[in-house]
Order: sequence, then C-alpha cells, then structure tokens
Amino acid sequence: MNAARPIDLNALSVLVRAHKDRLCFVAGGTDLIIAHNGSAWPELTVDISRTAGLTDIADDTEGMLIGAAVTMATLTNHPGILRAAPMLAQAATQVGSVQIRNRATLGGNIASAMPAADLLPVLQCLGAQIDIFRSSGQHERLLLNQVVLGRGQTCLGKGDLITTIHVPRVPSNHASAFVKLGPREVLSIATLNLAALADYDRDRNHLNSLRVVAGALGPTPRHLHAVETVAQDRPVDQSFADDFIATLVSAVDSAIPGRASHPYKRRAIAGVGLDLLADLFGVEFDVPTLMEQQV
Amino acid sequence: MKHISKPHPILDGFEKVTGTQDYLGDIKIDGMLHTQLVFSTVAHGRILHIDTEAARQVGGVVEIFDHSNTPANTYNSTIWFEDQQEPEDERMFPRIVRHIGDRVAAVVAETAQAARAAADLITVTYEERPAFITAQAALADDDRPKRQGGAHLAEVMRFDYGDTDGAFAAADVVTSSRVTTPRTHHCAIENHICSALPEPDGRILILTPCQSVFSVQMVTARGLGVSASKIRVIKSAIGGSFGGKAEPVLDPLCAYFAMVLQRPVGITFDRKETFTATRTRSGAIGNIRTAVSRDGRILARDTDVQIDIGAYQTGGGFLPGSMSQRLCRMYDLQNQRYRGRAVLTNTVPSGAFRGYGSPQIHLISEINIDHTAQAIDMDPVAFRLKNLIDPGACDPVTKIDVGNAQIRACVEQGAAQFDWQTKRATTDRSSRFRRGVGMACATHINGCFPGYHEATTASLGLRGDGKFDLTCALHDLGCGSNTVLAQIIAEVLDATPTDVVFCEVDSDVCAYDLGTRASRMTYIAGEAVRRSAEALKAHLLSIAALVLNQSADRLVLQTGGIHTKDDPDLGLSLTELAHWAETRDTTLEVTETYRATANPGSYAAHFAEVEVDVLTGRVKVLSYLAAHDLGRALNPQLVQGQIQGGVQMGLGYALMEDISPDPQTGALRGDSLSRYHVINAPEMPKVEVLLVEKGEPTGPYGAKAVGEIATIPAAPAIVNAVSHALGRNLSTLPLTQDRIIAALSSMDERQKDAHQRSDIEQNRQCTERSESMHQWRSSHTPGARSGHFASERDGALFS
Repeated sequence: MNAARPIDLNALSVLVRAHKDRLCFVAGGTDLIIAHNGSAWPELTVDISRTAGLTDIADDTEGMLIGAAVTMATLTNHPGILRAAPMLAQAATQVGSVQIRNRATLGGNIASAMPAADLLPVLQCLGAQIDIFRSSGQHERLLLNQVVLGRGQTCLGKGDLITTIHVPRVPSNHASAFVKLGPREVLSIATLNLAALADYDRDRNHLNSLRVVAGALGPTPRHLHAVETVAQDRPVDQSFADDFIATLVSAVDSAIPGRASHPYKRRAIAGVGLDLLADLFGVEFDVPTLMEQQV
Repeated sequence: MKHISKPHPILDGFEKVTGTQDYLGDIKIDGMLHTQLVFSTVAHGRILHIDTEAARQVGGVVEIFDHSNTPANTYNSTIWFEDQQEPEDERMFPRIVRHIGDRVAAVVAETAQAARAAADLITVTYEERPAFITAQAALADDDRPKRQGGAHLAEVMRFDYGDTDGAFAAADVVTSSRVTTPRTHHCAIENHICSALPEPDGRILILTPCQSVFSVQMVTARGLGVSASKIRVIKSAIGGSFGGKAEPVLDPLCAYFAMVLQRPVGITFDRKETFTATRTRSGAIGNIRTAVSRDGRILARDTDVQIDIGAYQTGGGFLPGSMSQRLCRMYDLQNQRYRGRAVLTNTVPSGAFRGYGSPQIHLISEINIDHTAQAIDMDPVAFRLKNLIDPGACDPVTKIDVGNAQIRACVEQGAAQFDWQTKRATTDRSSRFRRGVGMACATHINGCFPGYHEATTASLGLRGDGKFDLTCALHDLGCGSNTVLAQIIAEVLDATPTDVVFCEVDSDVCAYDLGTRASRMTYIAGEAVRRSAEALKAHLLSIAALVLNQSADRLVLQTGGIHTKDDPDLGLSLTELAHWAETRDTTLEVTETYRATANPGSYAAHFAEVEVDVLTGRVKVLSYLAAHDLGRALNPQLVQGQIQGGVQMGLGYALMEDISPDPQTGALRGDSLSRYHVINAPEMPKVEVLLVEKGEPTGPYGAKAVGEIATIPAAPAIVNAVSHALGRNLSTLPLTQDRIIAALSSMDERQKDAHQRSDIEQNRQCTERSESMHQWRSSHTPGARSGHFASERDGALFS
C-alpha cells in the first residue's frame, strides 16, 4: 500500500493530477479499511485526515463551513455547531462508538452514501450544500440529494473529493431535533431516523412550518413533503400529533411497500415520531388512536 | 479461612488489562508460513473442479491444499480421549461441502497478504445439491421415500417414566408451548487461531488457544492418520472461548501443513471466518405440554425437541442427552416423557457453548412453566415453589442424587429481595411503555460423572524458593479458574495464591485431563488440587519431622514455614526444607488423582423487570436479580463477574443474538459484529447478585459450579418478563424489535384469549383428579419411581 498525506489542498491537487484514476481518499477509514480488509489497495491512498482546509470549522454569515475531514467527535461538542446547527451535533453523538466518532468524518458519511447514515437526513433537512473538488480541477457546489444518488452511489468520480459542507444557520425561532432508532441504544446502525426543523412560536404554541427528513427509509434520505401540509399554521396539540404520526405512517407505506421491514417500520415510525415531537416541543403526546387500534 | 470466600483479582488480570499478555497472534515464530482458507459459497454441493492455476502464480505461494492432496481420514472434532467412538463425518477438506463456510482449499504462503491474494484467485465449480437449512426441512427429507445421502437424524434420546398418558388424560388443565431458540455465536474477543511447528524429532508441535490439549491431540492424530504420540500440544493464552474453542477446527489442518511443508505454519481466522466456519450454539424447537391440577401441581410433562446441530455431527449428538437431564433435576415430576432429536442441516456446525443445551431446554421448559401458571391463574413464583425439588432429590432417569439442591432458597430469597410481588402487581398495560416482570429457574451439572472417567490428576511440589509448582492440565479460559485453584492451594498450605506457579498446559508434561468443560473446574479440578495440597502438606510435615526430629503430629505448617505447636522457634522455613531435601534424594512433590463420586446440581433463579415500547418494540431491562445456589463462593469477586457476564450473554440470547441462516440460501445474516448484536454496556442493567451458600458436601470447601449456569436462566426470565409486560405469550427468540411488533399486531386481546383457551384442554373428571392427587402424595418418595430410559447412548451425564 502506497499512501500520501498532503499538507494542504495544493499538495492534494498535485497528487490528484498525477494519479487521477488510480487513487482513493481515506479520512477516518471506518468504512474503507474494513472494505479493503485483505484486498488490494489502489496505486495511491491519500490520507486527507490532516490536510489543512479539510479539518476546520468556520463561521460565515449564512452558517457553518465544515471541512470534509472534520470528525464526528469534533461535531458533537463544537460550540459553533452547537449554536448554529445543534441537530448536527445531536446526530453526530449517536454515530457508532467513541472510537468510531474519533475517526469517522462528515465527508466520509456523505461519500459512503449508506441508507442508514445518521448525518445525511440532518444535512438534507438543513439544506446543506456540498463543495466538490473535481479531479479535473473544477469546483462545484451541490445539494445533498445531488451528491448522494443511491445506496453507496454518489456523483463523485475517481479523484473527486468533498472539501467543505455548508450548513445554513438554524434561525433562533426554529427548533430542530434528530431521533434515531436502532437495535441497540448505542453502537447500532439505524433502523429509522428522523431529522426535523420547525418554525415554531413557543410563546403562542404555534407551529408555522415543519420539515422532516427520514433516513433508512429507502436508499437515500427521504424528505417527507406530506408533513409540511399537516404541520402548517397550527397549534402543537394532540390533534396535531395524531395527524403528524398518521402522515409518517403513510410515508412509510409509500416508501417501502412490500419490503420485509414495511410492517415493522410503519409502526416503529410512530414511536420515533413521538420522540421527535417530544424533543422538538417538549411535550410527550399520547399514542395516537390510530396506533392504539393496531396493538 | 484466609483465602476461601475472599475476593481475589484474577491472577493474570494485570497483564491482560495492560496489554502485556502475549496471545498466540502476538507471538512471532521465525519462518512461519501463513494460511488463507477458501470457503464454500454453496450450502450443499459436490466440488467438481478447483482452479488453482492463477493462485499458484502469485509470488510467495508455497502450496495449495484441497481434498485432492490432503488425507481423507474422517474424524469427529468433539473427541477428547483415545479410542473415543463418535460418528466421524468431518475431514480436512471434504469433496462434498455441507454448508456455506465449509472448507474447500487453503493457500499457504510466505505472507498473509500473498495467501489472501492467491485465495481470491481460486475458482471453484460445484454441482449443487438440495440444501436443508432448517431441522424441520431436514427431518421432512428423512421421511421422503426416495431420498439420497445419509440421514439427517443424527441422534435420538427418549425417556418415559411414570404414566404420562394417564396423567394427561386425568389432568384439569393441559398447556402446550412451542419455543424456538436461535443459533448463536460465542463472540470471544480472540478469533480462532492456531500455529503448528515441525519438531526436530519428527513430531508436530501445536500451539493453540484451546479447552483441552488432549482433545486437540486426539482429533489431530485422527485427521492426520498418525499416532497421538506424534502430536504435541501446548495451550496458548486464550482470549475467551465460551465453548467456541472446545473443538479443534484449525488444528488438524495446521498440523498437516506443517508436517508436509516442514515449516511452521499459522492459520488466523478473522471475525467473519470465525462466525461462518467454526462453531455455534445449536438451535432448538421445543414442543412442550404440561398437565397441571387446578391447585398448581404439575402432573405430567411431555417434551419434544428438535435440535439443529448444523452440518457436522461434532458434539451435537450429546445434546439430546444433555437436555434430557435438565428436565429431570428441577421439578418434582411423577410422570414425564421426552424425545430429543439432533438433526443435521446445511448450516455452520454447532458445538460446545456455555451451558451445552441447558440454555435451550430451559427456555423451552421455563417459558412453558409461565404459560402453565398463567393458565391456572397462579403466580409464577408460587407455582414454581409448589413443584420444585428439595435437597437430596434423585433424578428419576439417571438415578443420580442432585445433592444439596437449594433452588427453593434461590426462588424464595430472590423473590423477596427483588420485591417480586409488588413489582408483579403494579404492571401498567395502558401506556406506550409497558412494564413487566418475569423470572426463570435453571439447573446445571458439575462435571461429567458418571460418564467419561471424570477425574483430574494434579502434581504439586515445593520449590527451592518456597513457591509451589502445580503440574496439571488446567485450561483457564479467562474466567479465573486458576485463581480459584490457587486460593484453594493457598488455603491448605497457608500460602498466598501468587505462591502457586502453574505449569504450561503441555500434552507432554501434564497428566491426561478432560479439559475445561461441563462446569468441572472448581468442582472437580478444585477438589483434585485441594487433595494434592493436603497430601503435600502431610508430606512436608513428615519430612520436616525427620529434619526437626519431632513427631509430625506435633508440627504445624504456617506462613512459609513449619514449626512445633509448643515452640514457634523450633522449626524451619519451607525454603530451608526444600534445600534440605535437594541434597538428600528426597522429592517434595505429590501427585493426587481425584475421581468424582457425585454430580450435584447447581441452581439459580433470575428475576427481571423490563419496559417494552409497544411502538418500536424496544426492550429495556430496568432491574435484574440473579440468585445462585453455588454451594459456596470461593471467590465472590469472580463469582460476581461470572454472573454479570452470564446475564449479558443471556440477555443477548433473549433479545438480539442470532446468526440467522437465510432459509433459502443458508448464508448467515448475522456474520459480523455489525449485523450480530450483543448486549453492550448501555443496554446492561445493574445486576444484583444473591448467593445461597449452603455448601455442597462433595465440593471443595462446599463449592459448586457457577460459570455456565450464570447464563442459563437469563433468557427465559427476560422472555417471561416481556410476555408479562405485553400480555402475550412470546416464544420465538430472539425477541427482536420487529418480532415484538409483529406479535403485537398479529393478535388483538380477544384473539389472544381465544388462542389461550385453545391451548388449554379442559378436563372435567374431577374424581379422577383427586385420586391422582392422592396417589401423588402417597408415592412422593424420591428415587422410588419406575423409570424407563431409552437411548442410543449410555446414561452418562453429558456436559
């Protein structure tokens, strides 16, 4: 195995030009090392985990600029992230174990493009944009759903690299939350996860709008547009919770009909949804009658 | 007592937690070749062609082995003594592969990378054959008229004592349960590994983390077709086993490669290989019926168990017998019938795994006990107390005394400390999170008596530095058995446990031993070393008597020296005694063989409180209590650890662990730690431990085993708690979240009641009932029952 560790993006672009199709990038390596266990590596493995410009978090007027090689561990307790996009930190905390969070990176989470990835629904929900440095030397800025195309599939060609993730700042009158369900409380791959951003007037208990993106409900993060309709301009009460859960259940019905996991997920999403509402609005709603009947 | 019943940390614990302990994978052997196996990708098929041409071109490849250039000797990897006859259906590389993960070929190369690269280039052509992934499918195939190949049914064991049919006919209520237990994997931290080295005298030395060097020696000798004396085995430090390393899987191959190539050869499995190509816990489907009177007496029981033992016989043939015993050592049953069938399927082989059939049969019986209690509207604790055996009871089938069986104390004291009645009464079934409590009992054996020459030989000697040399084939699997044995020796010889020096377990040096199996370490090996220590003490006193010119009975052995009772100044240190002996042709060493005379039961009752999310199916264990009758806890600290670890394993068994062979392809869906979930720290409840220490007369200092039984009641206790929380009878394990939701959705409350009613056959012949009750009372004399015992095996206790 031949490896290089470029100190900055200039050094990196020299390597990319020289080895173009015959290199791979590694940051945390939490997926890549396992995938290569025992099999051959490409001509050059480029370690970007310490490349200047890829490991920083910066503020700009619209939000946060997060380097692709920023680790989950950094995201969990970065003051700027906690202020501007707390849901991102919330999701990062639930990735893997301490050891994995110390290695795994935000860029890696995107590039691996796994259906159950914890940070992808969050990025989608927040409307994050992703800077890509093409091996041709071009720079592009794309939305998450333009980068992540399917299970393990991205728009990234050989030698293309995610450099920066732009995460818009969550306005102060918004609430956000991320809830994950897996076989275990920690260190498990999500069975379902939901990321939500609510424009909510807490004093009047009035919900202006709500955006929800689901993970592990299809190959890529799924924006549940129907939620927007039921969650517009209304008080957050049991009747809203009932409608919200019913919408989530129909979303599962249309997302994965006939799949072995369909019967389970259409019920489990109600639990995840109630936890999400509790996190967003601080209210524990009753199990909707719809779900009661199914018990 | 200075050392007995005292906490003492594991002797090699410091080395382990600081990473200085050398495991086999850490040891560099000069010139060692590396091996990569090629595994079957089909569940059943005849190998037509193995194309190794491309692989041979890879630089560094030394040799490629497959069925064409390796011995065709068949063997059974479970054997542990010379001349042991068990069905032999394994060979190094079979021509017909029987499961995904079966061995097809092996590349031996200068480096591990070269071996892997070459193995990737080997292509195998199969003529696929019908695969039988489940025991039901395999048994159905046995019933088919024009079937090919050997029978899937590997072993049958039955017993029938009393008048089972009569008791069922006369019963008030009959319940029936069907319980399905998953195939599970040991998940020891250290994967399977082996090294073999040609010795100058033409023998082969095997270094291996194992549970019996003699088992490795016998199995390897059979595989190679050589005399056992040609094989020498040394146990390396072991990174956990739980039974997974009881059967030598890699050793015959490794030894053969070293013999042929005349170079050291190593085989190292990765996690996936350990999952798919070693051993697992067998799966079981139990159909169990219980006849019970309205007032809670069990009148009769009828159990039928299908055991999926995987692709090769291995030790799977012992399972029907080992399960049968557990049914006879817990409840006082006048009438009972049993049939256990071990069935070969096209899945990864089963083998030893903590409890050896006990976890499966206890799931079947203890879940049914709860169903039965529910059917007569009786509290599960009260119901059990009405039927549990008393100390000194006799197993009606094997006629073996269960010893000082304190299961009643476990249940009574456990229920009180757990606050069972309050917790059981306060169950709320209205909210999203439902609470429930459940409990289960368990029994397990202590050693292999009366079968298979259950004995341990220990040699103990005094060294010049005043320490004690122990030569005995003691395979500490990481549980701390050596620590407990050192405490016993220290107690007898008034020394400290660190004064005991354990020899390397070497088949050339140690006397024959069965190895670590069947919960025999503390109970059997403990008594053997206690006796050797007593004998050495007597011997040292007799020699000291000569030196001091005193009568031996006037001398005492105390803290590293021997002196007279009246005058502490008249004496000598053990070092002085050793030096005296060295120059006078006197050996200060004794050898004692302890042959077991009994096989008492260890007992336990576990209590669990759970919370179940009826939307997501998530189960949280809120509180847990484990009550254990272990005679006496020789090292309470290690006992706590054993029990907590056992509970961790049992919780996983109940809730998530499952290698889950795909019913169509036979591929394991749980073949990695990301797909096969074990209970991790955040899932663990605080485990309260309650020890019932009433002493076992035949055990060293009254001790009985705890290592295996620690895990046995955990899974049924959890299942019973979840069933209680949900008001459903769940009995297909593991209780994964989707399974719980499916069970909730499939039946509503009314359907459930109807379902239960169908399981309870009402019997209105009240007169007959009262007569049978009368008979029960009058004939309630342990050991005085008629028993009928039928099996293809002898009546020995199987571990």
